[in-house]
Amino acid sequence: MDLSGILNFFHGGQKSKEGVRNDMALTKIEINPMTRLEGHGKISMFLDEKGNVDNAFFQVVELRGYERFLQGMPIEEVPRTVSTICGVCRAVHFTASMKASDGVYNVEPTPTARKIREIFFNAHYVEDHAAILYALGFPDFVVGPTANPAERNLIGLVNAVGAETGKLVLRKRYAAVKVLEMLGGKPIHPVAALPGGWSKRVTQDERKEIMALAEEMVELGQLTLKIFEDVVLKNPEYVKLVTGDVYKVVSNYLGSVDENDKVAFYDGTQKFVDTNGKEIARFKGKEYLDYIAERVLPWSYLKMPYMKQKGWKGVVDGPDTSLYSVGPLPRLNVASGMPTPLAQEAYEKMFNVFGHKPVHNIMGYHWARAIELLCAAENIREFAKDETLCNPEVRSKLGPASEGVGIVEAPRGTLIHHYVTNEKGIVEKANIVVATTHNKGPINVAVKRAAQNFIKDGVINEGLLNMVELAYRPYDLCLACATHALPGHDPLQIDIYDHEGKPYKTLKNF
Amino acid sequence: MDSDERSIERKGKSVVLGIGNPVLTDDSVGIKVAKKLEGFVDTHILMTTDFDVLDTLFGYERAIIVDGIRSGDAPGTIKEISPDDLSHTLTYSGSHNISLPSTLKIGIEILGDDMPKDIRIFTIELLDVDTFSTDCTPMVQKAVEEVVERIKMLVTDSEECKI
Repeated sequence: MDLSGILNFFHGGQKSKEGVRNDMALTKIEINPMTRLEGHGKISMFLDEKGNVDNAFFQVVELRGYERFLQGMPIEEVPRTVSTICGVCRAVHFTASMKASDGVYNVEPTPTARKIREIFFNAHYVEDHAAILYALGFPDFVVGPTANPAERNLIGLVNAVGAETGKLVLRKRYAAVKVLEMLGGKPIHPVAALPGGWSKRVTQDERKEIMALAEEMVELGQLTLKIFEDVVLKNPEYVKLVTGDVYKVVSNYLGSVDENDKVAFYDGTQKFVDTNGKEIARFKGKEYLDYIAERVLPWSYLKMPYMKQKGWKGVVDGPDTSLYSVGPLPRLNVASGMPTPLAQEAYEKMFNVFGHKPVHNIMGYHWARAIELLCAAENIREFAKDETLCNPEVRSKLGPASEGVGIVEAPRGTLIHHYVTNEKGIVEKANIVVATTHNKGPINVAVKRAAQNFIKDGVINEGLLNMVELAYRPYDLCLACATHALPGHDPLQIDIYDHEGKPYKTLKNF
Repeated sequence: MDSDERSIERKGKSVVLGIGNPVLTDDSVGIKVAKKLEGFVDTHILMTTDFDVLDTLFGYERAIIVDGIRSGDAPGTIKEISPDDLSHTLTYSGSHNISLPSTLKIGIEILGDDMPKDIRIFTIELLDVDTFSTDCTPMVQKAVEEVVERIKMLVTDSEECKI
């Protein structure tokens, strides 16, 4: 099936829904991050007659072709295949799919296989969170959100913290990549998944190597939190940016917790809290269908999830909203703490600074991300200390094939893989719900609020692009990056139209 | 163990890095070239152009990167360029958007001498990156074979120069 066929299949034949409000005689602004084949995002803003923001829409073209592509495939092949959905998110799709394959065969991994999977998954957290923080999060704070983009980047960050620190960060992040490669059985895209287990045992030498690498990762976590504290917390202006109301979305939250109600990445119970932090629901596995509903919107390809029990309340935040957020900050909002000591200290400090829980300030995503990086490193350290990691029992006996749901906390938020197979384990149906889909409603609210704050009386300045981008960057959208063809240019453009729909100004970052 | 024993293992060596998606028809060109060169030279495969590129190139003397391109040329057109020939941006809307030129720029700035001194990029003009398939279209596949031969000659010449 080609692209247009897939779009037709999933979007009722509508290839484009741009300009749905062109007939409303409102000024229209578009921000176009034109990314790669598999998806692109676009922000369209509509001004009222006075030049203030009337509404804003974050639109995503998320190609769901993989769900069709998987049909007819043996379930054992699925984890390896879905790891190609996204070059960045490779281990998370792999892991969620592997857990779903456990469910298909109604089997749990052996304790040893479970530990190997935990280390593998936590290593992905370390390398992914580090990339997001250093490439995206910190540069905004270090050189300032309104600074020249030529300085507001990783190079600017390195200039601020020193080249040696930059090199150290890249080197320590590689420790996580090395663990991923060692356990995954293949560089970059892992192949070791088996229903009910893991295909590659860990030797004692490898365990010791992982222990040493874990120390480097813990140091990376500590260094990252120190940079955050030095750069952000010691600067009153940045503290105001993080804790202020401009970048705030009051939503419900979804995340996974362990048996002690602490943050859980690889496996746990999925827990909802409301806008006041009160627990309102818990679910596991296939029960997600009882708690999450999706709303079809006329202006977007992507359905907007909401809490089924609360009913559809619109794309609004506040105490009555049925929208919910996922990701680092929601996970910390949902849980009563972190499972590891150093991360727990950092967790307490964060909520002390905010002074309340849940935290609705989306700049807190970056802070939570830094805490989780440290937590993941500590998790690896603990698992690697356990000599039973090298036990030979890495595979359980399989039951008959039928249906399975795998849920993990991906770095960007709750990720659900759901497959139905025939008795031979051939996939007949697949459903994948990714973090960016869960977050679609809150991202819309965040973008609209930022736009309303920075566009007044029709005055639109060059800083608008970044101030609006700041509203969605903390979520670190995964619009999927399935192709990587050069030139790899990702321009951002704001197109401004007059009230007759004619363009009169364009802002670009390229 | 120090994670940077890479510097010792890779010193003086060449690496071929193939970038692409193995299941999206022509987008797999980089991967196909790298696979065909396994055993002849160190090879790596990536589906992303973020910091993983730096992990892959770190410590090598010279690097040859193979990626698909969509620049409007005829499908299968081969070009050999340097990082300086690619425009880069250091602003991106997400961690998924860090492009190859940007990553190379970051690597050269931060890693300095730990990056290969000689980086060459082979681009192959793509035709179809929409259809799910592990096979390339005919003209693009032909280019894969040619790039493999050109890289073999390049690597051989480099090794002879060392002697």
